[in-house]
Amino acid sequence: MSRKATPRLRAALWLTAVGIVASLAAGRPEPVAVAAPFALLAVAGLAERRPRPFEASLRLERERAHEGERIHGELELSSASASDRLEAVLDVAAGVVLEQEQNRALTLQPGERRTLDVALRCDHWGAQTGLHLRVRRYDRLRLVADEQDLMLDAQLRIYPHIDALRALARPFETQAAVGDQVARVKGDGIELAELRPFVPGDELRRVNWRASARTGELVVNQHHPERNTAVLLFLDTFAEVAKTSIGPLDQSVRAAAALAQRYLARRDRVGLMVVGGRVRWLRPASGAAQVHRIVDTLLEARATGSRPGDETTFAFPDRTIPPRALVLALSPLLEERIVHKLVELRGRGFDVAVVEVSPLPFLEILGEKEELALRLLRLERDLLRSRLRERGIAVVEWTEGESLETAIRTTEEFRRRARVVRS
Amino acid sequence: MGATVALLGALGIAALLLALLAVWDDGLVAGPALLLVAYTASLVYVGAPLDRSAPLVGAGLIACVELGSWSLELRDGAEERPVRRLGSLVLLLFVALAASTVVFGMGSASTGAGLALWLVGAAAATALIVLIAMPARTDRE
Repeated sequence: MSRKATPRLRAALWLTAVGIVASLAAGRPEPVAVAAPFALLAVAGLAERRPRPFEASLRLERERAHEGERIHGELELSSASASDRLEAVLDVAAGVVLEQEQNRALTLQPGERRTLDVALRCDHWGAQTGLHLRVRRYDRLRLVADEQDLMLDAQLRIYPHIDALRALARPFETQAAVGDQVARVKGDGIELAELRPFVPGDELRRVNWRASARTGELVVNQHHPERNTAVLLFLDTFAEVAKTSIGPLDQSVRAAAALAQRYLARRDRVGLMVVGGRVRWLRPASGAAQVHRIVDTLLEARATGSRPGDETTFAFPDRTIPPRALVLALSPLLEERIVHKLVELRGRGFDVAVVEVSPLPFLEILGEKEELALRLLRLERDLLRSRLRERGIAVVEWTEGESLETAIRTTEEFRRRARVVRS
Repeated sequence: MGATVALLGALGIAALLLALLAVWDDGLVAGPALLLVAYTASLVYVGAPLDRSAPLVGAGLIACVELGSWSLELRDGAEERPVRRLGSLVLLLFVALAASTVVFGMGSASTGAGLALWLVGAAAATALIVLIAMPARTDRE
């Protein structure tokens, strides 16, 4: 708790001093008589004892909300010391707006508990863990102000609005468990793969009687089984270029949440790797709970600064990537280490695709040769994309305002063509 | 001398106005202090034997500081009980008037201890300078 003299106390001290000096200099009693009440105030202010600390708690109606929702809560304040005037300001992080009709100072008696209604508007996704309350208390004569910064234990998690997706980038290889994707291998399934001659041991129900009648020998149906896939969403939080909350990271988080929800709805296994200052990951898993785990992890994603030429390698948990998984990266591709990592993963046989969250709309290029600088930057990025594509990595640029659906469909189109060439 | 008094008074009022209009809380310290200096200078300039309205001047300066500070406080939040606050202010003005009258009465009485009283005053002024430094130190902490 810190203490400050209010303008009243400072005025009282200065006027007392000026009054005495003026009285001595002029040899008259009037100035000191004028300063006398200020002297009394000064003595009272300097004798004021420090108050007991404040206690505050914030109860929110719920801890989780979606963007655009309003959360109501109650802020309870108490102190063993009296406050003639009490100003309380709730500090909320970016993304939350405190909706208050008007600032109002309170009067608090010793031991009294006051409850204030609080309304928060959730504007942007994020995890609000550190809500602060700044309290300023004035004594009875308002000569000193005691300020205290209180950390409230309330937590608020704001979930992003998740767009529904229909298109998905499908992994080349499937996993062993049952899912919605038609596997390339043959086995029990619904999708017809081919017809082949009957061999001893084949089940009779697999015999295709029409084809057998045409060919004159027994022919059986072969099917593609429906299997699930494993997808690792690779989120790059390096090198955020936007100065506001809307930027490549915001786009990436929303896209990752939408993709996770769509893949998990198809019974696929989805994992998450958030790569920035430190690497956070979730092992691939399936089920409805995994959506919540992924979104909860995404809420913690923070933009990480990057220094040009920084060669520090980050600890990347390669072993958490299951074999035959699709590594789907959401990245502005500004950080060289991320590009190297993606190339390395591709080189080790992983199926890698990149949705390049374009940083260009968020860049502020200053100077007269802005147009030229932008052209150079575009050329550099085209070159980077070509480099990645040469290595079999599908890269699709996704700019702000464009639908993610379109970007994903383009990725899938590229991958389909690449598969044809490869086969 | 008359012009100096007028200038000091004008500066004091300007500082008070600046404090209120530009939310400069040091103006509430400088303004009344300049007005007090101007008042003292006017007494010396006029050379009147004793100004019996001095307690009223003291109460007036207190009112300036209090109302000015209250005005600045309102920017950080409206008062919950403004009537009660107004009552406290009126009481404070009466106490200030009483204290000022008592000191004025004591100061105008001839005690015959001229040099001794002067030394007490000088010691009080020195002690105040030390006291003024204390809140400033607290601020830095």
